[in-house]
Amino acid sequence: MTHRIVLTSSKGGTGKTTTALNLAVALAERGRNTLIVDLDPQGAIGLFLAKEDGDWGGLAEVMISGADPNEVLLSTSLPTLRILARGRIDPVDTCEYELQLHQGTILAETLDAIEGDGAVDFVLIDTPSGLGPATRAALAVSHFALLPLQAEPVAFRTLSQILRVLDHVRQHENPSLQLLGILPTMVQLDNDSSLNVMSSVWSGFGGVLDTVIPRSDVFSQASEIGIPLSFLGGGTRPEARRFTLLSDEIEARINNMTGIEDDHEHRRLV
Amino acid sequence: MNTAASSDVDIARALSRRLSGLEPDSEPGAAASSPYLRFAQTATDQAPQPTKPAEAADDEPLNDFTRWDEFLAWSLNKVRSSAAFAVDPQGFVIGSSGNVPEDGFEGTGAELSYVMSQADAMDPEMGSLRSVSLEFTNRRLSGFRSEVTDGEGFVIAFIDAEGFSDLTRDQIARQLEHSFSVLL
Repeated sequence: MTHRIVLTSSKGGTGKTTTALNLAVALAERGRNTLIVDLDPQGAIGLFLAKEDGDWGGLAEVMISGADPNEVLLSTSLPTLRILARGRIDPVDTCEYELQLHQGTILAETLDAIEGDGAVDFVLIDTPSGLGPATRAALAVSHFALLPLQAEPVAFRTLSQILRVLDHVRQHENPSLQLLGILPTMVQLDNDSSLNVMSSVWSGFGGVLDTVIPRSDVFSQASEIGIPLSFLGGGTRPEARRFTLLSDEIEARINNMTGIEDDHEHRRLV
Repeated sequence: MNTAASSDVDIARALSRRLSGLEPDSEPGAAASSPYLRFAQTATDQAPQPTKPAEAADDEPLNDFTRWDEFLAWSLNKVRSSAAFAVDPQGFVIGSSGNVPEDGFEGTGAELSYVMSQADAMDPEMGSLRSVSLEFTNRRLSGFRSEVTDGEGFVIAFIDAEGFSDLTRDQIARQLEHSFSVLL
């Protein structure tokens, strides 16, 4: 069964693309067939991986030229990870791109064609900041929403916006959409404002994930080179392990939400 | 600390709890009292959604409840509480709904009724007491008085409600007034 997860937030710079990419790598590294879909008109995944804006074909070729979705998929050095890039779309046509995504059925058809019969375990859809048509299109075809929350006051103030949209989409457009979780990102517990946000989030909010992603220079290092965290040389970084933990927590949470039982059996220590 | 406007945080907290299944779903349109304006239909909103910038209590259609538990189930859904109960003018609990403890709300209802009558006498110049919200260490208890018979107030109380607006209170009071003769 394929699980489609949309990563979304109304504020920019909260870590959507970083989370999408590193979470996808973590899932793929544990053997899950994973697909990243770059729905951001900026082509954030490609930019993160240090590609030129016109390097990769992708969704735009499917939408404009009628390309076969499976033909435009990008392979990676991980056999279980593929990328559906944004494609070579002219930035001038961003409005048309987003509106066609939302008004048509192209996104659902494209994902159906790639997923086939269980060929993909997880689809992670990276969205642009804001609550516009591309985000709404992703919410309409997804099973779960993962909300990266930058642990700082302005991002926290926007949380009610995305939750309201999520609630609306679930009630009116996609009843199968569920809140997978709120993921605190760029957490600095030695910073008062970041700590205040986390204190508020941890007191009474629902769906907050146990895993938090700390603020760290290692993210800048990875992005400068254009690779995921776990691909950095010099030993596994603690921050990369966070995404391993996150993938574990997310898989367990999805199993719990979908009624899939853990097949672990009792063990004996002696 | 002023991390975020408290109403936004309250909305986000309530939505997160509901969307993550910690609290029951409310009916569509329960957020009608939100501060937002809506377009009648936008390109991103395929489902028809009437614009309701300022709904009034008497805009909502009335239900024909015949039992207290039906009325209270509807009420607790409106205020998103875990349980609701009704107390008659003599302090007796006459109905309850939701997550009701094994021993019911008899004691709580009687004490709440007494507390409200005491508070009512606090300062006659303030007028009659309409509602209370009591925050305890473990639970929150809110209630309001609705006079459906001459001078006799019935108390409608909620456990763990996030609070209720004047609009919601008036809608529930209006519904109670409509159904009262049948409920009795």
